[in-house]
Amino acid sequence: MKKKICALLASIMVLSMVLSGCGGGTSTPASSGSDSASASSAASGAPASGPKDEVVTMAIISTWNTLNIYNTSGNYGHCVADQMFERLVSCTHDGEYLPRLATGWEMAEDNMSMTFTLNQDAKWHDGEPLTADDVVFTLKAVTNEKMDNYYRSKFVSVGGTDENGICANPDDLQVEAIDKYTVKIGFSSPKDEQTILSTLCSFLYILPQHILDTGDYSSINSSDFWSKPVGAGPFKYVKDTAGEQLEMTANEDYYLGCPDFKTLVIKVVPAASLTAGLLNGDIDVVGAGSIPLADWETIKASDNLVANAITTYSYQYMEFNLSDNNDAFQDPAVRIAFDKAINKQLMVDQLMAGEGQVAVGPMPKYHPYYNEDLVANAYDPAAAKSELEAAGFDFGRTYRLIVPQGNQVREQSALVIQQNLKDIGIKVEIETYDFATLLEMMRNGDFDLGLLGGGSNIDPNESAVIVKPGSAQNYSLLTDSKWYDLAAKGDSLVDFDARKEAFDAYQAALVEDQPYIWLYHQNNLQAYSKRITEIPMEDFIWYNYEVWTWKLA
Amino acid sequence: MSQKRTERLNFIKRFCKNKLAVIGLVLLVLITVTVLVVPPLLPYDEAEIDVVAFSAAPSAQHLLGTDTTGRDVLARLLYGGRVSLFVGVVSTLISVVIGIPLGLLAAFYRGWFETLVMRATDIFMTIPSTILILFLVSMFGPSIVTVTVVIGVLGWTKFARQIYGTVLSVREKDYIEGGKAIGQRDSVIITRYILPNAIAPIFISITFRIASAIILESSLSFLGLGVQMPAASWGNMLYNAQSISILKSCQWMWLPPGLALMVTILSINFVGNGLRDALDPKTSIR
Repeated sequence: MKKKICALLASIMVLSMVLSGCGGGTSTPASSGSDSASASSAASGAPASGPKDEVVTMAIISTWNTLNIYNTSGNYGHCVADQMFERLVSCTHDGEYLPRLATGWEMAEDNMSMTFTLNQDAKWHDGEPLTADDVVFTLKAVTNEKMDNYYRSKFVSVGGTDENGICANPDDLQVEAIDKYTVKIGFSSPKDEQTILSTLCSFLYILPQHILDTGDYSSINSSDFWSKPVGAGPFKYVKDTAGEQLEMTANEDYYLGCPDFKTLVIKVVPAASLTAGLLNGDIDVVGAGSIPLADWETIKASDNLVANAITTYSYQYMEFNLSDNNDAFQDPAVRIAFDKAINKQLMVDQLMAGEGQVAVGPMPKYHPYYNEDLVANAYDPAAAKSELEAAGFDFGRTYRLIVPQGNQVREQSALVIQQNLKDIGIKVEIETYDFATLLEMMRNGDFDLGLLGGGSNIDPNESAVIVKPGSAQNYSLLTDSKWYDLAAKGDSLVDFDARKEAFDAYQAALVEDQPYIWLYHQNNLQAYSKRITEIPMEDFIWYNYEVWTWKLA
Repeated sequence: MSQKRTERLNFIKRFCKNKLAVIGLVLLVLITVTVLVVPPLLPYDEAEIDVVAFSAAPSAQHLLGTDTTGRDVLARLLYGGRVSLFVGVVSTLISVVIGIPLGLLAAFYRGWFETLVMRATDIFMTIPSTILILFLVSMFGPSIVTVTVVIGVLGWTKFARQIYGTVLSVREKDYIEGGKAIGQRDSVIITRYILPNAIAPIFISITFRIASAIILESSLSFLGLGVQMPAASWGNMLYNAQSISILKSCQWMWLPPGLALMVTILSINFVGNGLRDALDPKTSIR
């Protein structure tokens, strides 16, 4: 017995020694690592004036994939590109355009071209001046088939491109440098100024011709340039861990003003960890992504954080399978009854804690093109049921509702829809899939109902792709082009009042026929540390950060 | 006949000596009966949304409160328990049905079949099973059935190896020789002579495997790859309660499934330990 206890004690001692040994082993390199880091920052030294030697960390919830902005899919690349590269204009929350690289712009009287005057103080990070030739080079590159460009469709309005935004011969592209700091861009058809600014100018990051112009546009894709980009933006590239963390340093010669702090770090943080990061100071600001609703009260209660619920132009919708081989939802009366059966107010009040709006159409009430005369179908399950019975709807079978994984509010809204439809006697089965699989299923018509969202810019024509027969984003597979025709008519006009009238008709038709059920517009829940005095967070929805205006407290 | 009865009595006596094992068994029976019998009697089902009570604290209406989607936590706890126990038991049965015959036949016939089966177990055991399970589940689409089948199919190696080892020693015993000498068929020798003498240790492994299958299902659900909504499982109830605020101020959403998981796993492990001690008197000399 005694022997046993001795053996036990001995083994415990050995174990604890091993463990403490491990602890010592890991702590040594860690401390030496931090020593060398502080030594290097001391060696580089902060200049007497200029940015303060401080680090600001911006968190985004998903990766930018690569530093090549034109080759990333998804919107998170903009968070990075906006710091290192320049765009012609910057967009406020309400869709007002402010000068950035362009100090001014003028639409030609025939609405067939636009002239931009560039800021003469703009310089690349290597000291070369940024001129009109760089803008011409960039437009020719991004519309060239040889260069990969995820946002190609944004450039269809430039004269000389085909319906996919591709220009076969760069010399035919209607863009020219009038002088060193003036660029003229021609269009394929008369265009509205806002449309050009919100689509073309928001996606055109100017690239340096003196580095990238090799005479072969395909060389841009694989260029070493993208491993250490040279931009003209407020921050210069320092180092990155691929797709996870990026460190940049202030561009002291930035023509709109030197940033107030020396180092900006952008890192990927899962949404569930945002709150903890903000509370313990690891994160200073949330750049893209919404704070989980469950944490919102905690964030608002914190003394060290500024919390902001920001209205967005995104919309969530439920789609019907309207392809020719599914006849369940072809009758508009059926779709309207579904609209009446779904309790959207409950979703906004309970799932979003009131941080959102019930949707009537794709545009929210504060959208400049919102049709004030729209009358939403009221929530009325009894009426929905009798209308479905009158329309001869098949209550006997089970309908499949497919839902993408990841967005918690959307997943919960699927449960509400299931419950609402069950209340009027419709059996719905929910299936969740990853995004890629789900889109594939939708394209193949392998569903009855589905949930998705949209709203990438403020252009009223933005939602037209989902009602365009044959379009890759027409996930309902509808074949009737009447809604798209209405939007296309509005897009062809250039006068605001005329456009407004056309898009009013488009929205009215969407409400009248409900090709999609418009569910809600959810607010973005964002926050930043009081370390920084003021941040234009509302503009983050268009990926405009204006970091050079942020001041440390 | 009477000898068999005393053997059985001895076994029960030895098992009952282990207090923890008895408590575990009682708890397990209680849990099983509760999740099977009670749910239909509840006023709510697992997917039903109470439109006036989202994230509500426990009350007379909802004994364990509601979750962030307004669903009754008690109902989800019990329905989730069904899923957890189902996955644990059925996937283990699948492992046993695949593993036992393969291991047994490999040990009995030796030769090329033995090489085939044993090298196959080697290969299976070198692959990190969690990653393989994640891969297979995402390929076939997450659901109760896929999760159960995948966990079950990947768990056969342990049973195959264990019965293989036991049968190797049993097949050299004199009574097997005797059986062969009087001209018994292989099938009779295997089912009447070998299996009864090699099966006991398997029961212990079965209990431990059930426990680890339940944990596997919970981890898959926690990663969002397990049982899909609106169905509940203890793992996905925990998954839905990840945020700091819920952890801090809505304990009713995560404490019940967490405790249920812990108590169930502990109970199964206690029963397993008790079985081992009772079946193998050598290890529990006091």
